[in-house]
Amino acid sequence: MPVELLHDMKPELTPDETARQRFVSGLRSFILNDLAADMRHAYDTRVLPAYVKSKGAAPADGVEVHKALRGDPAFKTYSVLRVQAQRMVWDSVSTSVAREREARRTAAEAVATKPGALKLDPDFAVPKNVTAIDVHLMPGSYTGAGGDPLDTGATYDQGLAVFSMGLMGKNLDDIGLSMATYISKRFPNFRPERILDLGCTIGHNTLPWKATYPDAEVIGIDVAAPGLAYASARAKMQGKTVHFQQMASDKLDFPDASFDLVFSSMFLHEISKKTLAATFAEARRVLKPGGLMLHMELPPNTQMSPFEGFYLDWDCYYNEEPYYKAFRDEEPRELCRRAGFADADYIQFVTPSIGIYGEDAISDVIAAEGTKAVDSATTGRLAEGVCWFGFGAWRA
Amino acid sequence: MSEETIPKPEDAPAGIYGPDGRPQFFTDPAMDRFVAAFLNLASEVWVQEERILALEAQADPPRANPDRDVVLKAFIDRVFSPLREPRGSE
Repeated sequence: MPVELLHDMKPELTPDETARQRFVSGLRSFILNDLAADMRHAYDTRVLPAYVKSKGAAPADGVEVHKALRGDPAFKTYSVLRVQAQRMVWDSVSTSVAREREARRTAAEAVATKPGALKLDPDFAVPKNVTAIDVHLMPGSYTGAGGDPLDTGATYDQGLAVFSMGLMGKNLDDIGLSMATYISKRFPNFRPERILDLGCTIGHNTLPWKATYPDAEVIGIDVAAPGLAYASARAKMQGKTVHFQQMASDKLDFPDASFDLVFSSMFLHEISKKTLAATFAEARRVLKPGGLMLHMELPPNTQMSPFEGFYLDWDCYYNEEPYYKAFRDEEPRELCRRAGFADADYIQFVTPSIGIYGEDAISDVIAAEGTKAVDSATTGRLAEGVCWFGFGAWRA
Repeated sequence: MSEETIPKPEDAPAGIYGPDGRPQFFTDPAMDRFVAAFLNLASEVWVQEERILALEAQADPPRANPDRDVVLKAFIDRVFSPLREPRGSE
């Protein structure tokens, strides 16, 4: 259960802070493994039989599972602990974030002149889906709770390390690294020269694209300025020349056909259906012919059972991610089709975590393409091991 | 975090949020708050446990400094065992 970040903006934790963070990671592991298994057991042995007896059929979807489970003690126990554990994630990093404020600011200033642009727009209207809620129950969400903007990025960075229980790597870049490695191996002739990362937050999954394609110009955009300021400093401290710009994914301020790869990770489920459609249209517009739109996301509800759909959609209702289920109700191929991509140009895959299974495991999956289907057994929180779901389309 | 209306999922079942807009799982909202306090307390007890482990390692260097993650798992399993779903009773 390692929670220590290994990049250059990692905090120097006191023993008490380390202990507190370790506890939260351990608690989350207990909830997501033991209590989740208990809830499944309660559903199979108690809730489902009662539902079938009453309605004459099993729940048809995750919403019906949710309603059926709501009153069960196993659901209540799992849920009330998960919500509080999520709040404790952010609480557990708050003291170190505050204590190291000056050191962080000084360190960021020291690298400010290194290559890599940071463009923030003081007049930018941050959309309501970010300002009106504490996304992931993070106090202040992506725009921060006031004070030093770098605090917000540090809170997200350090909190994500606790939250992820080590599954995202010690630079929190496992998703980006796994996806970039998969693409580079599966499409060796694809050599993107310009790469855009949408909704990049602190750029943790942006940097792997620069590592995989060192000659490419890599740009990360986000609507929230604090994360971008932190992302820029974080990238420079790691010697990565990556540019960050405050911008909305549905209104890209880039010319037509100006990118070879448009990427996002765990982003689409945080935007409304309207923004989602506009984001896909914009991604297609800025792609060059032969370019690739690629998204790492949660697998869709159509590819899993009602219980498993409910289980993943829990975050929609209780973790301040109101668009989560609406996104997962969408069919990824249809989203691409609606944006003008051809069905023949659609791709989807599941890649193993490079941090856990290594590069060879990704090569093996590519060699056996098609044998690892996208479903609840291979992706998401219910999966055996850690794998990431990707989908997208080539621009004709 | 702001006075703006908090968007909620369009198909959220009725009654899953309390008057403050936060999730509510028990009929009596005091129970939700009590659980939160209990988890905070368990966390603080664990912090003290790590302090003791550190002191013991200092006082008795030959004693192996135990793997904290292993000790923590045993701690959590012990403290939270009453929350586990009984098996084999259905």
